[in-house]
Amino acid sequence: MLENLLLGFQTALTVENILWCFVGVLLGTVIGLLPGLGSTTGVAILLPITFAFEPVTALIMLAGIYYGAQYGGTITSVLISTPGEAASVVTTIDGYQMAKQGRAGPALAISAIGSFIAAIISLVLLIAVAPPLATIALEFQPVEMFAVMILGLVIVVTFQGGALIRGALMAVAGLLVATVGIAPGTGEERFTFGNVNLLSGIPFVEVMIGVFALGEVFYQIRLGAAEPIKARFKDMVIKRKDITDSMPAILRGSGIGFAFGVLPGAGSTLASFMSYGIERRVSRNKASFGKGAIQGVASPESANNAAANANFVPTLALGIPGGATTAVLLGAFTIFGLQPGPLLFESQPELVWGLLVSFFIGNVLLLVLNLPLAPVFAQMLRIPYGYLYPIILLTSLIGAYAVSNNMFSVWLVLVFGVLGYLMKEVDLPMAPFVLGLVLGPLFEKALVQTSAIGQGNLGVVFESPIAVGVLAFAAAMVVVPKLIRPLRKAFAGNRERVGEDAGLF
Amino acid sequence: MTLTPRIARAAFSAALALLGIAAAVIASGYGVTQDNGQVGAGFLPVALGAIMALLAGADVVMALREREERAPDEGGSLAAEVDAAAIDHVAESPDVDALGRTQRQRNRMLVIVAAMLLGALLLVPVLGLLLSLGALMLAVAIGVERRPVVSSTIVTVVVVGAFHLVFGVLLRVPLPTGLIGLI
Repeated sequence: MLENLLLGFQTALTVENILWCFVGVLLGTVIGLLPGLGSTTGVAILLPITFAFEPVTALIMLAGIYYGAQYGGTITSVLISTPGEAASVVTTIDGYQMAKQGRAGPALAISAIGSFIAAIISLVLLIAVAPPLATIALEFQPVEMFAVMILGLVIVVTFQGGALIRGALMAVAGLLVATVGIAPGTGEERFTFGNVNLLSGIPFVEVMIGVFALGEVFYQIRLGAAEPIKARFKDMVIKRKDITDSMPAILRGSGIGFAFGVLPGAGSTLASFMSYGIERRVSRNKASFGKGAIQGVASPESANNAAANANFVPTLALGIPGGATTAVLLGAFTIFGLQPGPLLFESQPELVWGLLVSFFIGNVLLLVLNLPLAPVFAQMLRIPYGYLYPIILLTSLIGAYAVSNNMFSVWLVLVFGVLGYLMKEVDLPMAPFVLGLVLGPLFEKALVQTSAIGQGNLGVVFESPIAVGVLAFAAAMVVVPKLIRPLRKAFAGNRERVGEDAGLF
Repeated sequence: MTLTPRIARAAFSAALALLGIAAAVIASGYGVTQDNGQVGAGFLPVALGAIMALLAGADVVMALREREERAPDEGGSLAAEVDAAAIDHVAESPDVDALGRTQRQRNRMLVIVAAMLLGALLLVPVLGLLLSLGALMLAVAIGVERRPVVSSTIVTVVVVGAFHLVFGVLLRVPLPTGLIGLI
């Protein structure tokens, strides 16, 4: 382990990698705070720029954008009550109230400190958990991998919030889009309709740019411009008491964030909601939650940052993305000719450990950047969206062209941009679609191999105890919440009645 | 007839259901199983198309059955607070946005921007990619967003120049230059 860490530091601590890590976290912070841009969009549209880099440098920069955006997203949540990402939605509750009370600075500072502590804790856990998990996963045969992929899809569908049917619908749509092109195993053309551009399938990066960048721009145009709160410098100072008061919330948020982030597809959003809910429950001052409680900012912000790091556990160890942004990063791995999964730790130790160590460096850079510069970053919100979105359009379309040097990619971005917009308008979840699209080729490969092992009998899955265990867990993910929900409602009803009787609420 | 969110959702899901059926029908022609009994090229798309049609169909039924919006949760729950925060935000940004544009105007803006984008892409064979998208940027900033002409032009020139430098010069991406062949 120590040898690996040393190798990681040797890789990450080159001038070039530190520089691009810095560029990544800086761009990530700016991307996270600008309306209409999130980490997924940022990574997708900036991916083509990294093609000229070494794979490790490119991935360090892209990962920097990812966790930099977590910091940046908080700024919009606190200042204009507009979360940059779903994971920052809960932060708006108390963060925006704090800003309205002239305490925007402490809210931003505690989220930077909380995010940093959470990132470091989760990074230590990630380094401890991912390699052993990869070693176990090395033993997995296609049958077990097939079951693990079903589990990944089930988790993303069950945890994305909203109706189960709509999540499943989007996951299936993503899988179906992934079937376009040459079929694995038989080599037959599917859904290409004679178009040679479709022979290698619908390219992942173009779909991501379309759905997340263009779709979001269209959506924001319809939503309209919001009035920003102007952050004054004197409001930006945090007191020592704020930090000590928030520390338990930060530690709890980190633990909860990691636990949820490890599950493929569960991601940061659920982690932030859960940690906020738990924090409010354990707080001695429940009444202050929703009215500007600093713990109400510290807890979800720590959780979503811990979850962002933990998302890399399934991504690196199993090759199954933890969330939408790690799905795009997984696409980046494959573009650089790397196959994320258990073998990566053995075949590319320099890259994996360099990337993991760069998270530590990136988070130190982010803390140094965010504590003194949060008010400066906040001024970015003054850029009129009228200038911003044409730049996003330009970046997206030129970036898409650069992926393949082909106008087909640009048209594809437009088509998926319109689809992404419609999906947002009718409130269809994006994460299952992305995961379906990423997992599609791997899922079909595992399916074909499983079918070959069973000589056409897919029931061979049930002959593997590991696969049966994984599938049972997947089934439990769907069934157990449905059984528990009525019980929880009844329990909560009883508690509230008891609380009202005792005058607690 | 007004397209309510409920109807829009039902219509979109109905389109997905039809797409699922079409995918399953087309994919059945690829062969669901091979001669040796193993899964064929059509197996997964047929299965996925059928499942998609079923799920989308179920969503259409659910959307049409939803007569009214669900009552918000009783106070105290986390969901209720998130709703309250959202309501607070929405209440502060009603039909008219911070720049004084109504929902109807914003809808029109969206259609215009989409049409301009389509037009810019159709102009690529003539102007080239960078110049067409630069023209799009300028047209959106001045024509749609009503930004000052001078500052819009400066921003456009700087952005197009930066993209030419990054993609054309540094990354050596062969960006299409169109008939006029400038950049």
